[in-house]
Amino acid sequence: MKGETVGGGRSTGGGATKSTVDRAVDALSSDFPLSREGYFGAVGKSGSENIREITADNPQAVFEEFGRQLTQGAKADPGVKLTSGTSYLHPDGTRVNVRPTSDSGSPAIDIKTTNPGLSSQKIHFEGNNNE
Amino acid sequence: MNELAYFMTPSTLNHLAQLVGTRWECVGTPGTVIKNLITCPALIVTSEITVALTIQDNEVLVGGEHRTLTRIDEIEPGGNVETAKKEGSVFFHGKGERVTSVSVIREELREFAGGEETFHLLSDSGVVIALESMVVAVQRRGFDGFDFVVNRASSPAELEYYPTDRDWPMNLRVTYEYARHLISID
Repeated sequence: MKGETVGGGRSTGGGATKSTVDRAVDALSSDFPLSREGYFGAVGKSGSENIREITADNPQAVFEEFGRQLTQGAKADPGVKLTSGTSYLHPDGTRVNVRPTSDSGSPAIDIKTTNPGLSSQKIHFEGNNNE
Repeated sequence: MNELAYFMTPSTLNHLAQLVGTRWECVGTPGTVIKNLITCPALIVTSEITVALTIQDNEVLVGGEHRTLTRIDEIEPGGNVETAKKEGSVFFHGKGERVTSVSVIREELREFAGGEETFHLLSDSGVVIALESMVVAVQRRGFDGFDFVVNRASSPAELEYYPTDRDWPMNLRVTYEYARHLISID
């Protein structure tokens, strides 16, 4: 027996139909283009690719739009207790954590995914006047 | 430079060590299964003991940025095993075989920015359970993961792991060194 994933033969549906994550990416990327590597926004202060920053005049509104789009078709998972906010699971296994107040003080969204069009990342939403 | 260490507690390690010598039943969850992904808690069930692993949220300021670096914790199994079996959210591969060894998966990440090390993380992310004819890995989905992936193989050398390092791509400014260690606890 070669190394294998357990339960790997099970279909999660989809076929030619776009996944819930694909639809969210399509909806958001017209206003917030994805990088070629599948990241939203810009690299933050640290320079880490997987920590992103989106700055806006009204970061709360942008955060809410991201949260709304990225959780459509996903189910809230009460099994995950975030320090703030709610964790959602998509049918393809993509997990989205919507954090109205992250430890940084600003809202944030974590995305954990194997979707080929999107990379796992944490997005902080900041005001334009933040340093 | 930040040093971070998120290890399983001595109590959890002791419970995992008690799996050795018992008869394997299954791994599963009372939650959701998507291919080889299982949500929390991950239930590791043998004839005599059940270990229920969950994942705790942890946001931490490290390397100048707030990041999610989750921690594995153990909870009481309660009625979760019955729920998992009832829902069919379990994998029985190797059922009835004796557990011959248990190892903790400890993952290590070093971040370098501008040539300086910014943080060093050691984090226990799961277990590899050796049975008589196969090995089963239950591994958190990355340093920031809230789910587990389950893999099996005939031998440890053939076992596939979640590619944690792919979640930390390098660029001209920031580079990483990643390592995975298996630490026997029997």
